[in-house]
Amino acid sequence: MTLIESKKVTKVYKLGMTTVHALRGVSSQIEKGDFIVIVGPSGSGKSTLMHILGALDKPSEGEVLIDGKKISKLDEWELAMIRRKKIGFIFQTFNLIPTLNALENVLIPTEPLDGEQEDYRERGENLLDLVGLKERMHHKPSELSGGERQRVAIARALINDPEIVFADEPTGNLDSLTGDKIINLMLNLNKEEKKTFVIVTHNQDLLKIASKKFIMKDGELSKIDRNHRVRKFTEKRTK
Amino acid sequence: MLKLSFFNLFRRKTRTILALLGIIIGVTAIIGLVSVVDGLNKEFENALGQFQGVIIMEKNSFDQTLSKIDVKFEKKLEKIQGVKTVVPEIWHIPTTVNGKAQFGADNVDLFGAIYVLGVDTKKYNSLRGDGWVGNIIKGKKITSNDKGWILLGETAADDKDLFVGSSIKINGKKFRIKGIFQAGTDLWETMALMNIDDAKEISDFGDEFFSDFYIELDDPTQDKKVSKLINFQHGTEIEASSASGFSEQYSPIMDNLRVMVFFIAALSAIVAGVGIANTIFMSVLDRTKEIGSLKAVGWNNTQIIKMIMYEAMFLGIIGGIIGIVIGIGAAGFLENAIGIGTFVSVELLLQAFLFALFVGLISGIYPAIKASQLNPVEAIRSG
Repeated sequence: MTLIESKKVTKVYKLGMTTVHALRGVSSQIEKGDFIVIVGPSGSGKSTLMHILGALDKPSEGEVLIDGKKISKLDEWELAMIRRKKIGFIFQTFNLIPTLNALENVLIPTEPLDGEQEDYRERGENLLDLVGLKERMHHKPSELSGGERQRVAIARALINDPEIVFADEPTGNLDSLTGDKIINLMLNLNKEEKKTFVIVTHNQDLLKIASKKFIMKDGELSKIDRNHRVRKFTEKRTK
Repeated sequence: MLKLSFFNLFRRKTRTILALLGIIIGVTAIIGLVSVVDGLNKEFENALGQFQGVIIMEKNSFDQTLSKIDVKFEKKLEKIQGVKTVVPEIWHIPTTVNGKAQFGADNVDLFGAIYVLGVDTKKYNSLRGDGWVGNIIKGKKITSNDKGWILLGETAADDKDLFVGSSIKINGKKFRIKGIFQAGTDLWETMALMNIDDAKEISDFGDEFFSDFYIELDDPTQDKKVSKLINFQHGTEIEASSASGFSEQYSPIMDNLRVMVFFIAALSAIVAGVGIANTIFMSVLDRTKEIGSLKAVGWNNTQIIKMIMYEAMFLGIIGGIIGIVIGIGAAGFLENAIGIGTFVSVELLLQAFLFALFVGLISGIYPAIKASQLNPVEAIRSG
């Protein structure tokens, strides 16, 4: 089942005087249960692709379909609704709210859904249990280690039971041992909870565990086959 | 979300405190200044409540000390229906008391100065009400035989250390104190009540003029009607005003004064509002990334606006409450340490609080809209 599909997506933005072609016609499909890893150097456009696939941004050209809906047709409110219900995000810098404790941070995405807070509270506690932070759910982010903070962020990404979780360099700010634990946690969630993960990173090691592997270079997405051969995947725009 | 907004305020304590300080000063100023106006207002109301009759003054004379009326009106007024007693009065502000000038370069205490009121004591003592003088706390009333004797207000007596039996020189003439009275208000308690002939002697009133007449009516509730009748018959030369008419006349003036003082004080709160807007705007910029991630996890613009508006609202509420507490203290200080009469009404506290809340909310609007317009992608990428 295809969750998110992109068709010839381009993204052009202006950075001062220069025009940046961040994406040059990317077509891709994310299927339910995928564990996708996209590698690529800094500035290759992999974060931009993740933002567009995650309904945070709209493509300049081309189309993104989430559950068959064209996101270019949706307004800000509807996009927020899609992000809230269908998509979870994990960031390199965790992006937790420093004044709230772990559990409250996990519950942040449910805030708009007034009146159902109590049901979510139990779910939040269970999720923190799942990521191994049951004992520390009333601690503030400043009292948690980097790995623990990222676990909180993972629990936050899962609170609304999304179909797909996007992670942008989830291990980038962690030491390798802690990073491995976080990746293992995501793998387990993929296997046991059937969550779909899309991870963008420049850590090539993660390719080993991916069910689908891609490389991003200069705004073009290529598939990596079993023999680690790179196959051009990006369709050039034809005019 | 309320909790989130509330705690957000404490992330930059110094900044929040400085923003709060502005609004606290504003609210304190409102309460301090307006309570003085309200206090004055109350004093006037007490003073007016003192008499229930009608006062006849020279037309357009503003007050009794500036009025001069021909003595012939005494008889004319007595003939008017509903009039019971007509008391001729001479109001005079003496130039010297005990040999010292009342008003000079080194003495401009308008409220501390002694007034002279000369009345026809026979008629005055027959009044049903207390007239200008309240209850006599020491000594006795003066009668028409008491030439050279006065009744003195308690404030003036305390001020000059005078007792029943002591003497005081007014405009060079020596008087002795027969009694000391209390009135409902300080305004009347600096008065020296004497026989009208004594008052003529120390002032420049001859036999042709009085300052004014105080009229007691058969039915005090008819004061407006009788005033109208007098104004109709003799309105070219004299002017009759009733107590209720007085308060109707001056209350719009007091109301305007109050509004004016309120907004002068409120100016500082409005300036504080600019400070709040700046504080919140800075904190939005600081939290760009955080706001971006809130959007990423599904918050829509309305929720972002709400969060920032709550912060502004809390600033208004906290500033308002602290300002009220300090404002009440300031009013108490003015009253007790400096001696300016103040009156802090619940209405005033409510107005000051609502104003603080209003300023807070208004100053939150711009930063809140700006925060909601942040592009989530750029917001996340930043910092």
